Amino acid sequence: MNQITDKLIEVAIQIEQAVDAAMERWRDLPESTLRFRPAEDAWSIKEIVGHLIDSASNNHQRFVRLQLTESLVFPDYGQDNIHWVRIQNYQDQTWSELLVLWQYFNMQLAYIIRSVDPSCLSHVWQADPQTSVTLFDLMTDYNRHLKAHLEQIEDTLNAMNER
Amino acid sequence: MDAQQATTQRHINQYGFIWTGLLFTLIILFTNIGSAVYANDVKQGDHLTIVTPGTEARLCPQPGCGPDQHITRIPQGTVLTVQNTEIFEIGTFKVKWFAVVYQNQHGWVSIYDTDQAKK
Repeated sequence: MNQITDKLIEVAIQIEQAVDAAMERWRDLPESTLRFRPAEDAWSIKEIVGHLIDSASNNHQRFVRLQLTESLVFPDYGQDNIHWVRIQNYQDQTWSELLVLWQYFNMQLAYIIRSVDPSCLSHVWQADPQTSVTLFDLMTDYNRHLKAHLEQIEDTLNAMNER
Repeated sequence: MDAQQATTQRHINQYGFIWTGLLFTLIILFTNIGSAVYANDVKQGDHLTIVTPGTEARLCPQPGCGPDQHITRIPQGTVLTVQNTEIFEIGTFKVKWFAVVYQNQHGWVSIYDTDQAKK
């Protein structure tokens, strides 16, 4: 049991460290940088952070609900994530509010991951009858998804610097 | 070229060789670290160990199988051989699965249940 707890504590630490570093680096970015879209169909930095808030809010529901039930039928948002970003109009939102919301949401998720009941880690989220994902995999993969988008933001900043 | 020039040239060649060797060492080192962390290089025939104490790994008939569709559960410490790999995606969730044989039963296990996940 210790090994699994260690793995999740490492996940929580990595989330906290990634968010701390991002806050330090991105807090004072100018609005023009935040709104820049590297391609017509690509998200701006504001929209990527908005998408990460959607990821955090959906996973918050999964992380808590899966400690209340063995199998959770809960709609996925992944296929609709473009619409989530559009509907919430992250592009026009105040950056400081957006960033702080993302920061505290992730701090809460890291806290939940640290204090998860190990007996619930095999509980499964069910997107459809043929597909399911364990809570353990969801928690671990949350960190991978977060990091992938943080790298995307760095790529956007690098693309801007090269212009 | 006099003796002093020859000595200088020899030193340049020696240092150049050392720096090139160091550079290659660093490249190999970092390449291997990357592979170990993200397991991009796991391939058919490689061995993996189940490391999900407390929960036990699901052996699924296909990656990401539905609840109660798993064939059996595999205890911690079981060593398996990778037969195939596949990326399972649903929404933003994206995980590598390995085809394995456990007690003569063919199925799939998630990378997160193995020692091939981020160390």
